[in-house]
Amino acid sequence: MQGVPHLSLQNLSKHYGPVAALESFDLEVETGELLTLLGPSGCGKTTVLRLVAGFILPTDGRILIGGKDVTHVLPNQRGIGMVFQSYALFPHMSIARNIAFGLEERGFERSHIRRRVAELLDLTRLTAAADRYPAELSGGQQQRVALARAVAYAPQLLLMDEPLGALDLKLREVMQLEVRRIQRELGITTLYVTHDQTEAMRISDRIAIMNAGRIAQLGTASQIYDKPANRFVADFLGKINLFPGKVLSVEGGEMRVQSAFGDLCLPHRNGISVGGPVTLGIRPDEIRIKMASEISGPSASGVIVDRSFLGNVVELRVRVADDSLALIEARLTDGQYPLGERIEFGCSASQIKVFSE
Amino acid sequence: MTARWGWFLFIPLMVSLVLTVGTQFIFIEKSFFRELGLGQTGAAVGFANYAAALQNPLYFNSIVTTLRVSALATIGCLLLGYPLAYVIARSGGRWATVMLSGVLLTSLVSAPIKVLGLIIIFSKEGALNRFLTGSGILDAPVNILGNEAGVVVGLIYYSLAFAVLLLYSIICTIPVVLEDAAAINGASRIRTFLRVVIPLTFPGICAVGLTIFSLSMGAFAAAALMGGGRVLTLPVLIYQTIFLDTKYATASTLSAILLVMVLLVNGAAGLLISALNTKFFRKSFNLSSASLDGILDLIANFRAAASRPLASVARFMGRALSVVWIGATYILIFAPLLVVVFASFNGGSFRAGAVVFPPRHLSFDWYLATPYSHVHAFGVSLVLAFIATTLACLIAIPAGLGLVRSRVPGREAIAALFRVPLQIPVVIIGLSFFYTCYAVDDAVGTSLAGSFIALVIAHFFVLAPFVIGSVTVILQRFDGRLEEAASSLGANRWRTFRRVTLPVIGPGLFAGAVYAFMVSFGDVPISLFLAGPEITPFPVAIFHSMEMDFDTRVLSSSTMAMAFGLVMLVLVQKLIGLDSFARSQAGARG
Repeated sequence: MQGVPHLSLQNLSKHYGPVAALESFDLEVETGELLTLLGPSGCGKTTVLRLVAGFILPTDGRILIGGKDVTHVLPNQRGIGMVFQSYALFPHMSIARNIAFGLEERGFERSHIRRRVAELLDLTRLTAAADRYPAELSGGQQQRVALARAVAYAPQLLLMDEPLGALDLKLREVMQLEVRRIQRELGITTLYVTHDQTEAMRISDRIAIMNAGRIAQLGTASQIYDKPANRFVADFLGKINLFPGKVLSVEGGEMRVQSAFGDLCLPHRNGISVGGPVTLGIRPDEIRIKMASEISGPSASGVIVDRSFLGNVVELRVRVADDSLALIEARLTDGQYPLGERIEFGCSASQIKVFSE
Repeated sequence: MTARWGWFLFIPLMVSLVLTVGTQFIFIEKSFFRELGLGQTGAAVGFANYAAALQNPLYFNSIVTTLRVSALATIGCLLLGYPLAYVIARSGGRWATVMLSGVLLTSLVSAPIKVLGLIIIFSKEGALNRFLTGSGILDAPVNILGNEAGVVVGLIYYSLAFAVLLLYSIICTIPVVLEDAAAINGASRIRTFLRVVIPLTFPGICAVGLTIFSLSMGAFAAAALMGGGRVLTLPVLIYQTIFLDTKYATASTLSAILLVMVLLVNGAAGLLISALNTKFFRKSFNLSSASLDGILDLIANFRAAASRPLASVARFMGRALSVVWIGATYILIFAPLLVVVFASFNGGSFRAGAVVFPPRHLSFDWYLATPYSHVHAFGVSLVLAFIATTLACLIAIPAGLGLVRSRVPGREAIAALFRVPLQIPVVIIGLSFFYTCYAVDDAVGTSLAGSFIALVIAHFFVLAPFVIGSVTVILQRFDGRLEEAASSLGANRWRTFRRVTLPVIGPGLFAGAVYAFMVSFGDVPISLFLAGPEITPFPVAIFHSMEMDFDTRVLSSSTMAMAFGLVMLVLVQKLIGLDSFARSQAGARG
């Protein structure tokens, strides 16, 4: 099985009447990997999960688990574990019986079931709550029961559909690490769905950013953050200043672009031609506030119109020449930056991202 | 603020107390007087009538018959209704709306009209017997009309649609995702049903079962017409005891016995539900379902093995099977009504023999010759339903506001009092108002008996709980912050009520009102007791026509009444949506 991706989605489409929720979707998840589908609501990420689970059938395409075509296999015979957004714990069963459910349905021996349930209660620190009912548990505990139930049968593949969405911020961060710990400990291949970018970056081996039923970019968190493939990805993952530019000339491997930062000399990218409008992007933490004379690369100046203290940094909104606003993250050690102050700032040209749209 | 809401309850409470306690007291009191026959009663004798009733085999057998046919009808309703309710609840979207409208339509059709269709199908010369003997399945026609089998079939039809609506609203409360969770954990469709869907809806199934049981015990028109007056369930016996035997005290005694039985069943329903909601019962129920697992494993594993190589075929077969099952249930629900519609185009003589199904030719003869008595009866029913419904709405708004908003001690008890008319079999409501009219007339010299006013009051009494129920349900869901928002934006209390509260509770009020209207429009037993010779509501006219000399034009008139019901339903769908209509009704009942 070496080299065969654990989960492989090939040319998958799902149409609801004339509406395409998913279009020619391809994805491969490696064994033991945690891959996150990240995107705004309605981008098709939950559709992918429901297709893999077998709750809905694709209009076109194939789903392979461990190299085996399961496109038309019933959900109960796919051998998948799943954690649902609302947990979907059986309200009429105790915690222990919820966890035992999948083992019972698959006909394991009673002694094995008892041992495995005890093991999982221990792993998720729920032993004391074994005989209680879901309604008597806190959100975080319910979440852990849902996870324990999903992995009880030691499935080859785990699906998680916004599993932490219902928790408050503090608990969510704790659970993110918990999910990661349990997933690593069990070495279970996981397909994770969320719309929370911080969560995706914290727990994933790789992230697939989705938009309008397609993958916009696939890669590790740092790959995507540093080299966003397009404007949508740059805007979705992390904060970014986007501003228009115009290509003046292309020479060799370089092009000259007219922008609010002045005329820039940037490396040329395929698909960009002279005279075409482009979008330039720079992340707020990549901008340096300095005197114009100290800046070697592109620079601009503006007036601070808004200032938010965020603890480690202060977030400034600066009105620049063409009346647009630039977002800058500055350190308070470098100055106080009161409202109304005129500042000069710049960045290195290599950090500017160019998008053809 | 809260003190004021309490006063809203005052008038509804007084009206409810006077009507409930007054009428029930008068009829129960009657049962303690000596029965002299011929409409005469002697001095008070205590429980002699009860002793006599229980010793008389005719009366005692009637009690047993009532329990037997009601139990069978309940089982039939649950078996037929649950799968259908499940499919409607789970299909969602357009399909669910279409299927739900069908069920709602049949639930609003008056009992005599349903029975009319059943008689055409099941009679000795009817469509079913002709088919069965013609195709050689049976040697001789089987007759179920006039015996207990017929009554059971009639009772199932009487309450099936209502059972489906109640079960639908219960199944809707179970999130689909729980079934997904069971499937992904390896449970097949059957096992998911047995381990998740059924256990979670079990308290609901019990409650619906007991509701249908008590409804069946009190059902009159279906039992009287399908039994041909020969199967004596208690409501039929009570009716005959008054109008054929004129034994008023005995009829009271039998009614009191029926009332006690129905109240006991309803009480048991309440206790059962609260018991099933406790943790203790949930646990022990789990144990019993665990011991059932062994048997179920056999079925499940068999199916799993069968479906492994041909999974998509199994999926298709499962779908096909459910479509067939649902289709069959639908045909069962609709057949009697469609038969009435089709047979109404036979034309020709007005004698019973002219009714042939399927019709030999298309004719509007019966429509064109609609008798004046039917038109008049239709008008009486419309006016009666309209006035009674309006009164019910007028009392429901303050009652609902008072129940939900006030902190008056004993609100639970007051709410229970408002629901009492739903617990009393309609036959008994008819009988008790009938006695009350004579008692009041004797005491103060009015002429209530046989008057339109008496009909209006009795109908109002029955309808009020439906409207109060749906208004209460919607008020409980009403977000009080909306009113706070309105007043923070400068609206005074009256303008807040008119511009925010009323528009939000409007749909609930409307749903309750439409339902109440149709209940009044389809009622037989109450009107049967109270109608005078001059004022006969439509269902009573149909009932009399079926009981006495059959006039084929009841078919055409019934078809027009059903068309009217359909128009009402379309109106509801356009204005508030059928889904919320059905749920608010089921909610108001349960």
